Amino acid sequence: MEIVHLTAAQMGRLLRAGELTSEQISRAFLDRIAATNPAINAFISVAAERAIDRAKEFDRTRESSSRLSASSSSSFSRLCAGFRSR
Amino acid sequence: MKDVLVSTDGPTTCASKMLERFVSPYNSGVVERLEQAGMVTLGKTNMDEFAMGGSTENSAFGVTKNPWDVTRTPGGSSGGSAACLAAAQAPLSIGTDTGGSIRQPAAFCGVCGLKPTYGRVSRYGLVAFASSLDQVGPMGHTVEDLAMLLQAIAGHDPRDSTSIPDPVPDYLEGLDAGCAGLRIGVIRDHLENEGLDDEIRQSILKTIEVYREAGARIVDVTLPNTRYSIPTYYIIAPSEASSNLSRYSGAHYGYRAAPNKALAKESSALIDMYCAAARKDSAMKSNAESCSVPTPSAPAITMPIISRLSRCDDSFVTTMTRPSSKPM
Repeated sequence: MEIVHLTAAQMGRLLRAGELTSEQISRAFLDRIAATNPAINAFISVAAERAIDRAKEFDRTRESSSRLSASSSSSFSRLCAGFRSR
Repeated sequence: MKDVLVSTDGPTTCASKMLERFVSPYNSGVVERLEQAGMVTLGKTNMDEFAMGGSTENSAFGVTKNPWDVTRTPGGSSGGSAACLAAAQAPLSIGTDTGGSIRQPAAFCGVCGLKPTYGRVSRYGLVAFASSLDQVGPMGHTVEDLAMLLQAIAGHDPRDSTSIPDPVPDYLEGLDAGCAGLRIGVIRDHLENEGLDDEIRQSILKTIEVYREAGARIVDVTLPNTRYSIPTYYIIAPSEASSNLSRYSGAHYGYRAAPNKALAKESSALIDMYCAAARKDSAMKSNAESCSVPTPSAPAITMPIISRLSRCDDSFVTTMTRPSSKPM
């Protein structure tokens, strides 16, 4: 399935499994915004550069933290591990 | 992110010309929590100006269209937050709800939205509309996504005096628990109301049956005071809006519309009435056993954009809208 049609929970699981990166997800949505926003005007402003910078930062943090430890017990952490920076 | 929550990464306009160039020196509590949760903010979403409206047509930056049918509104005031989900421009979004501003656009755009309990989510850095009603909440494609997003943004914030200090429950824990033992209260009066679109009435009745088959207990409930809710809302909300928005004096924020003397007199009377009411202790406690009550998020489907725009004069359309082909 295309990235933009995944649910956030599915994205979280794929991020955690290392099958997706925050950067890939952010770029997919930024491309989608560029293609569709002129028709619907849902966004007033888009912070594309900053979003990509933050995504890269989260990817780096996730990579280093997954090397250190992969375990976390609460259901929220399990679902969101992909989104969390710490 | 609805453009009513301040962030340092760009302007926070509240869809108003007055704040067109306003960049906040600090991040709102919700923005901070999303960053801590490792979520990337893509941009700011369109809304009715200062969150007052139900169609996202009252924005200084042009109307937002419903992705399912671009001749219709996405609802509002969190119309951009709902439309961006329906158009797959974002997996999650943040809205704010004073009198339906998350729930109604979510319904109009076919996505999920939740107005959390008052005080559950920090309003630090939320540009206030009606302070005794405003609440920030999650929007997404599934209930699981909403639970996850609410988990990320909920929690006590000492910088918001109305923030609840109670611990936040694990919203994901009960997702697979099923409906056995759940009490669902049905307000027959609401469902029999003439103003309710029949298709929506049938959808709610079908939904109740789904819950009944899944093991929920269906009980009739009455909420006899709901007939006073709209008159009450339209005293509280405009009075608080008047009080909150009077700070946009033009001296600090640059743009000021010409005052209307007749309206000024009327609003001053409303402010007096509101202050008198606010002095009385209005805290109410209920001992009733709690149950879920399914109600329509809106009495009918979304309205065509054109019917609203035709009521505006040409100068509004030409000066307040921006060409939609320009990147925002």
